[in-house]
Amino acid sequence: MEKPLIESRIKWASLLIGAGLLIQLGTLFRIHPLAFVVFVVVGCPLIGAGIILYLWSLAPAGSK
Amino acid sequence: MPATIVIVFIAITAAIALLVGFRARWTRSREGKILAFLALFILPIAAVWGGFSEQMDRAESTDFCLSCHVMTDFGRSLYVDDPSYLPARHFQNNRVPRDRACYTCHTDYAMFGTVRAKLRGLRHLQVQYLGTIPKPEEIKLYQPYNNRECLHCHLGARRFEEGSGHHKTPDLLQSVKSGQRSCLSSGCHDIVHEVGSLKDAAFWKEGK
Repeated sequence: MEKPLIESRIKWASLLIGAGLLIQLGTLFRIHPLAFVVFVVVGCPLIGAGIILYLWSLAPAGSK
Repeated sequence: MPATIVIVFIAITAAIALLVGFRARWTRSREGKILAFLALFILPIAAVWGGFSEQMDRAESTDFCLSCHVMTDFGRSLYVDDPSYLPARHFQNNRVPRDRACYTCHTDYAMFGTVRAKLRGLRHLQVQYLGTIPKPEEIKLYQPYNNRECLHCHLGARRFEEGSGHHKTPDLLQSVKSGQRSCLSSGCHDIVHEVGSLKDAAFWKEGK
């Protein structure tokens, strides 16, 4: 059975957020400027994109 | 906030976020919608805030500053076995916290000083990863070292206020306090990191 669009978006949002958080988690195991760069340049955008996708999933009134 | 708490919080947040994603049908119920809002909005924002705060805190550590190869000699200069080396004297005698030795002296003790220090740090990252890394001896301060940074700790201290060296002339102490006479570049405390001459220096071995 096909998933409702909102659930599909929530799944993708959670994957983005989960990946971003895991990357951020990895950066906290090392004290190095590169860890900070990865935290900001990779982790934060992934989480931001996931949050935006989640909010977007709430926006449409109906689902597929 | 201790790093362990931040790490555990981020790990739990990631686990809950992924769980909600793989059990997206839970969001059909009211409770599931609340859980999704927490897992995919509130908690990730809190986790990013906690993680960023921890990263900012780490950026003030001596280990962080010295982790770039170009800074190695500056780190070695803290162990020079010669009290005329100002950073070494401060570091070896715990006049600065050893785990924040660089940041303690190289931040501005003024409004937005921390922000300026962080912005300079970003510039250093840019040079480290995208620019041309200078030789250690070519690294200079952005501007002459301000007495304000010294006075942040030394002002009011007995050794500073009453030390004979600071009373060689009647107006010396006042001129130092007002910034008219530089602590570092007026010939009094002018031996700092001197990374160009470290090959001839003797080094202190802690515990010996």
